[in-house]
Parts: sequence; C-alpha cells; structure tokens
Amino acid sequence: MDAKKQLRIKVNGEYHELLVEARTTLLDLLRDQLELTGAKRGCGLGQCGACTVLLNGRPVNSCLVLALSTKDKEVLTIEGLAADGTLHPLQRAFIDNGAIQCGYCTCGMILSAKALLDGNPRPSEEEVREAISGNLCRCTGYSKIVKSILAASEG
Amino acid sequence: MMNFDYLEPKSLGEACSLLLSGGNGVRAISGGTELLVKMKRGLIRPQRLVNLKAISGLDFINYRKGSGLRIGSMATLSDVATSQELKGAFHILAGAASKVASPLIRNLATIGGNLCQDVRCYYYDQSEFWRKSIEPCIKLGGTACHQVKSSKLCIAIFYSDMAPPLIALGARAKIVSPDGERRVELKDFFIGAGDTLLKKGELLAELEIDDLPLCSGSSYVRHSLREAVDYPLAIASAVLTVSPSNGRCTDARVALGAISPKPVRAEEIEGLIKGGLINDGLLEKAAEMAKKHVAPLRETFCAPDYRRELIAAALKKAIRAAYQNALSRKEN
Repeated sequence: MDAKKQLRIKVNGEYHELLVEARTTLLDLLRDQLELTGAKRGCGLGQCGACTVLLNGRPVNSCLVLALSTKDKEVLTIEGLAADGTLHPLQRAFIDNGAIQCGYCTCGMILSAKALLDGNPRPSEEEVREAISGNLCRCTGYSKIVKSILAASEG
Repeated sequence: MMNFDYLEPKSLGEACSLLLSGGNGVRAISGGTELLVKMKRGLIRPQRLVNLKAISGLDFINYRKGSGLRIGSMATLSDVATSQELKGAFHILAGAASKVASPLIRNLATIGGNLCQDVRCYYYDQSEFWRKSIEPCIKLGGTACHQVKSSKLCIAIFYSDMAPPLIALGARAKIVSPDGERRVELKDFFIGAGDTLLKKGELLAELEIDDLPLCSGSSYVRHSLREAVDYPLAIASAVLTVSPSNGRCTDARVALGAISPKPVRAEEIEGLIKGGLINDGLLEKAAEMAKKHVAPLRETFCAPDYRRELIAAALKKAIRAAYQNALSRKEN
C-alpha cells in the first residue's frame, strides 16, 4: 500500500502540492495541512454541514470527500470569500442581521447560501430554507440566517 | 479510518477488472456518502478503493422519443433532481432524487450508489464504541439479530428513494463485467441484506426506461420524520395507464419502499386495480394489502404500527395521484 500520494489541489484560487494519504478527507486536508480552519468538524458523517465547502461551485460535505479525488477540481472555502479583504455581501448581511451566535455553523451556511445565490439570485424563502437544509444550527433557530440570506439576495 | 490503496480507473472495463482481481478487500466508491460513513464507523475496512467517478461519461441523463430514458449510474442525485430530460411521467425521478438527504449529500451521491446502498438498522449503523455494548449481529458475522431475536438472517430494511419510482417505471439495469454486459429488470436486482444481483467484478452502468403508453400517469409519495436529512419511513410509487375511452385502468405498476429488506413490486395491488375505475373502496383494500409488506422492525421514532399507517396513506395517495395524472393525459 502506498503510504502517501502526490496531490495538486486548487483551493481559493491557489494551487498547492501536497503529500496525502488515501484516507485523508478534504476536511482533514483543509484544516490540518492548509490551516484553513473555517470548515469545521461537526459530525464527520455528512449530517450537520459544518464542514461545507464549494467543490467546483457546488456545496458538499468535505468530511465525505476523499482529498485525492479533488485533483483537477476547484475548492472554495470561507477564507476565499472576502476578496481583497472586503466582506462578501452574505458575510455583511450575517453580521448586520445578528445571524451568528457561536459561529460553528456559519461558514457552512454562508457557503451553501453563496451556491444558492450564484444560481438563483432572487430565491424565495422556501428556496433559501431548502438550500440550507443540510446545514444544522443549534443556536439561532435559523430565522436570522434566512433573513440574512434574503437580505443579501436583494443587494 | 484505516488507510487503503486508492485507484482511479479510466474506463468501466478497467474498474471491473480491478474489482475482480482485488480479492475481498476491494470496494467501489462513487459518491462516498454511504461508504465513507461505514468506514469511519468501522463497519467495513476495505484495503483498496476503486473510484468510479474517475471514469468519464457515466453521468448522462438522456431522453429520446421512441427509445426512452437512459441514465448513467454516476449521475448525481442533484443532476437527476434538476434534469430537464425528465419530463411527463418521468418527472417522479426528479422528485424522488430531490428528497434524498440534503443538497450537500445530493451533490456527491450518485443514482447508482443510491440503488446499491446497504440496508440500515438502528443496531448496525452505529460507531464501534456504541456497538461494543451489544453482541455482533448477523450482518457483522455474528449470530445475533437485535431486531428479531429468532432470526437467522439479516432482515434490515432497504431505504433507497430511487428504487421504487424506477421499479414503477419498469426500469432495467444494465450491468457490465469483463465478459460483457447483461440487463435485468430492476425489480429483480435486489436480494435483501444489502445484496444485489451484481457478481464480483460487475458494475451497474446504466438504467434504461422505455417510453410509457399514452394516457399514463405516475406518482411518488414519501413520508419521513423531517423534511430533509432523514431517511424515508415509507415510500409508494405508482405508474398507471388508463383507457382513453372510458378511463378504466388498463395497466399498473406499484412499488413500495423503505418498509422491508428489499423494495416491493406489489403485484397483488396491481391485480386489484387493473381493469377498474379507482374508487375509495378499492383504495382501502389496496392499503390493507400494502400494510402486509411492512417488516416488524424497530426504528427510532417510528413503531411498526405507525409505519403501517404511513404506507397505507402513501399507497392511497400514490394511486390517486397516478390515476389523476393518467386521466389528465387522456383529456389532452
């Protein structure tokens, strides 16, 4: 068995060359090797969505993606969202509307919301709730999160 | 989880050869949304994974009038849920796919993987730590069944969302191997205990669904505890064809899911409704027949009695909806 394999991965617009074990998930790689700790380890089973990142623009549970399967793909994490230090409208809206309590679900929520707005700039409330249905929040009860996403969509 | 070899085949043929020659420790991975969870829980420990998503050209969804619908096994559930090719009665496949798990899972999970999924059980799908407190069950190579004490076989429930509507649509599975390809009716594909007709070295490549007769309608009804994330508790899916002259049901396929070790093609219900008009009395009889298929297994938050009520309600709703859809096509 090969202990580690070479992987060239594009994260937030930058290429990285890494040595990676086959069992390393994308979440492990982002947090432990690239020190991008925005994506969180909530359940490790694809149920909570705290590990959400965008893979070729689509939100996925990074805890269920083998890192080696991401070659030739683009990964976007929360750290890649604020261009030149300016907050993304979603990030602005979450802060302005008080949608963040402990913050653990926030990165995943924002990325799921970004994927929604990229494809559907004016979603209904139902569409917003459906888009974040894979991201669990134990603090807020979701209402300010939904309000923030709708607010960002009108901008 | 333990480390393993990771292989990316360039073709189905290469993937089949890798699976055939790899011994017992080799597994195929597609979306990974079930396999990786089982590996993290220590339920399976493959030494080698063959990534089927590395093979290009297996994720198509194509409809051609006359030849029907063809869906590649690597099409993601998101792709199926949003496909513009699934029109008319085929739209139930998009509806079914859109209800699975969450958008995040659907972006990874494949239709082939959904059909080849393992059975699930409260006493099996748990971490190693949790399972330390009970004897290993039959599925783990032990002798105990924690659901039915006297059972000598694993009778856990099969939860695929895509199986019932595909069976109701009369789908065929195209299976490839190093020796060639074969086709089986999807209703015969499932064996129970998480097994399928796939032999070692074989892979599910494609689903084929023929055009339906005119004046056909379809439906898909799913009950679950919550709107998202949850596995289904009861699924009923029906495809009915009616006579254009008098609206009587001339053909029917009814499939039930998430209630038994494999999806049910309810031929006795089909026999009941063929030839007649659909009325409440008939539906009550059909609902009682559906209840008989519910396996008496304990599931979190849903006792078997309640599950029987769910499948009865789902079945009545499914037949009514498919009938109405068929009648509306008759009017056009």
